[in-house]
Amino acid sequence: MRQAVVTAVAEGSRLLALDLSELDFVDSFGLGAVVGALKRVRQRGGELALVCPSSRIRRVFEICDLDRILALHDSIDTLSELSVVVSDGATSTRRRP
Amino acid sequence: MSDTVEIEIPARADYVSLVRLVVAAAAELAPSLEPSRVDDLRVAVSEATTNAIQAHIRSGSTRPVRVCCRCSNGSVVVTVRDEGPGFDVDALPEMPPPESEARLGRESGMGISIMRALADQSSIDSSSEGTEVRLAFLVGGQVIHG
Repeated sequence: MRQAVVTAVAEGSRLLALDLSELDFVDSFGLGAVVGALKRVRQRGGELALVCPSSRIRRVFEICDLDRILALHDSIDTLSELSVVVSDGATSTRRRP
Repeated sequence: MSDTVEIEIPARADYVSLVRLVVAAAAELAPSLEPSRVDDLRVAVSEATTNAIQAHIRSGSTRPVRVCCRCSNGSVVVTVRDEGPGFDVDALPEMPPPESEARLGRESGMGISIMRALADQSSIDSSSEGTEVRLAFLVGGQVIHG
């Protein structure tokens, strides 16, 4: 995931979304990776969102107050703007429906 | 009456998932512990075990990390013990506010907060001889996050 974010930012993407839909576990190491991605994207003037339908996963982000600085979406369909979606280390582009 | 499962693992990061698996399987045998609480347990134990392993790696210890899971009718209690150099529990650096620029510079240091938030009861005893983290999940207990 880290590498996919680095590549997407280097290629000029500014609106990124991490698709965590398939994730069934996250700990502080994973949160650290997301914080690193957010920092990298914001340094280039961009923004990062998470697709995170699992309340269990979402809760771990909330414990660390990361929901205050990250947009958490229930579904990829609620991403309303052009975004590069990083999922399982691969990227795809989503445009406004 | 309680059932106890104890495991020793080498201080290597790839053993964290094994601990998670064993502790969750033991906890699921405890009557009435809600599945969502078992999920909390997995995360909290994972954090404690990762910290213990890192303490051994930093100190160069080749000793194993010990994890003990006691399941009874009223609770599941997990202790994670390491033989690392210990740390001052009262001097842990505070996490900067999430909106501050400094927060994005902190990719680590969230584990203890997560453990404490997810367990119904937790304690950390640390000395120069090692650290013991105790995490208790009470049957019927529910951590309220506000």
